[in-house]
Amino acid sequence: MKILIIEDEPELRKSIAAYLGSENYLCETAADYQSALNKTESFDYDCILLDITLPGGDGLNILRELKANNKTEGVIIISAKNAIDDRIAGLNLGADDYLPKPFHLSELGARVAAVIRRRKFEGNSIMHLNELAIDTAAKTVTVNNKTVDLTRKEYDLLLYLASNKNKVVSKNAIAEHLTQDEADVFDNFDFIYAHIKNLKKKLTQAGCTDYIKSIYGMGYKFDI
Amino acid sequence: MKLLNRSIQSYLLYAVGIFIISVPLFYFVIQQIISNDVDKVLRLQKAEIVKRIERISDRDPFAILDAFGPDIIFNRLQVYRSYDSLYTVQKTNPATQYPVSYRILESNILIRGLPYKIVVQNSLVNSQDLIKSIVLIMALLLGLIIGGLLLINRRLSKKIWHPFNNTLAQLQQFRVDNPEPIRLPRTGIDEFNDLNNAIVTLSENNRRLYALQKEFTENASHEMQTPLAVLQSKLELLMQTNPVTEEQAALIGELSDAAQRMSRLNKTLLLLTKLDNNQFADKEEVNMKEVVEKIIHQYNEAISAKKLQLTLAPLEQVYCNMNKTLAEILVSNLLSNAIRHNIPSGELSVTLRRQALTVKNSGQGKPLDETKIYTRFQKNSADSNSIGLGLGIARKICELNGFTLQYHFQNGLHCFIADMK
Repeated sequence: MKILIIEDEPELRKSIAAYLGSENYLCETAADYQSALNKTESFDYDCILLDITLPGGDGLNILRELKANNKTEGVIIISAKNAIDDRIAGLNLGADDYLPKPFHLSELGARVAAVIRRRKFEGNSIMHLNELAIDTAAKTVTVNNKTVDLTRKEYDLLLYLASNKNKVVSKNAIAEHLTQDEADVFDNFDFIYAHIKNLKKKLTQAGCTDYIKSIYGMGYKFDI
Repeated sequence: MKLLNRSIQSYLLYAVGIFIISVPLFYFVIQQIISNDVDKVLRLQKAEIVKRIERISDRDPFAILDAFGPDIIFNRLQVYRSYDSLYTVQKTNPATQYPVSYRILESNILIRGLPYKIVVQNSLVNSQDLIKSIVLIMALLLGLIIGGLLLINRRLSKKIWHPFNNTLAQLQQFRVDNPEPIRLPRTGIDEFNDLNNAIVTLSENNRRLYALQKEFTENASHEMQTPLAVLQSKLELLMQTNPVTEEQAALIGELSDAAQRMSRLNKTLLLLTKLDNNQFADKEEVNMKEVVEKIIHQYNEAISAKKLQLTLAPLEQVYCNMNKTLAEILVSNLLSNAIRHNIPSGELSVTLRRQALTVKNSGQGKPLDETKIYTRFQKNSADSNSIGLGLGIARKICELNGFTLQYHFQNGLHCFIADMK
């Protein structure tokens, strides 16, 4: 899987490349408008991460070029401008997703995985993890072909951790993913713990290996 | 007191003073003049009588007295004593029963060596009428002049002060966050032109400074996002490193919490600047009931985690013409505030009726300081997730839409009412 990271902030570019690179993605980077345009014209990618405020030009123009050339890359806009107008403009131009800065790398990882799933398998995608299978189209989970009954939150949590498999996902990232902007009403992360506990219980009862590991002080990890 | 009335009041006091002094003064002066006149006439009459009596020296003076009428009294005196007096008396007229003033000249004279007393009197009734008429006309004229002057002054003042009132009306509507600069037309009066110029300069300076400050906050929040994103991403990469000791893991976790808080704070600040910039201009008919139900659903987990007793009654159909995102933020902020500051197993009630949203919650048993709750960064709990901007934002949203947000403390419940009329 080839991913192009178009981002002018070098440290952030490096972080994204390092995080996604360890997930069996092949990452290329572009730091400005012109080099980004050159790369998108010359190569094909599975997913492009696009910062729309770039030195040398408007990132949205790259999106327009891609669409004009009938390229099928999935595009995720990453922007410091969390303006609704920008979001709508980007999505109208054919971007697959929009992620405002600052974001969690695990959130980005989950979104990239989702975009690639949608693009590559045309919606019919089942994520296989040994005996565990997650059908992202039907939003169902099976263990050894036996359906496990999960709540919406438990399913989201499992998919999120599985999309970032073998990585530590922080409690903050999980809280934000599960509750969107409402994480601030919780006094602590007890509710995550409760969801994790239920999820682990349901999966192990269905005969699944206990892949979800608690990482002291930091968060959780889907270890496979 | 209005400036106009103030200046007129001084004029009026002066005019009334003059009026009060001048009318009696006038009366006395005229009376004096007329009285002098009457005195002269009396003396002339006396001289005439004496002359006549002397001319008819051979006859008895009393014989011709009848010719002078009842106003002359002539008496023979035993001894001559020099006496000459002028005075006024009130006598009742036997015919009309009205008291009438008489001016009387009484003097002793010698005619051919014989002493006589002569009394000449003159009724003042005519001259008194004259004085009355003159004073009346004078008072009338004076009144007319003063009244007219006041009226003209009032008219003129109103016209002259019109540009000032215009300027004042514009100033009252002036807000530093208004995108439109203040516009004041030129007037025909130099002082007002100077005033208008000063106001325009002052307001423009204020608007510019405010815009600069706003821009600074906006830029600062925007610029902060990139380093925050870097910080957060590096922390996540650090979590992936191996091996991480428990001590290090705890430190990383705490750092991550701090970074999360910072990024949330930054997001909220950006929202505030956007509210200040009025970037949520597009309005629609928002079904508040739907919004409340949606937000309650989102907070369900938090509500049950705290085991709160939730009452939703009544939720009537309430429609509001406002921006939908802002409606959601308003409801969400009021609710999250009520959840966050609630006590475990406490009460939470949300009602929506008569164009008002009421959120009541249990919490600390004493009322909040109403002057401080909307102040930015005013925190009332040790809860580190609370950043003290939620209620400020809620109020700002209410302000933007012409609503009011009130706080009450009743029966141990904190109550926020967003009145959306």
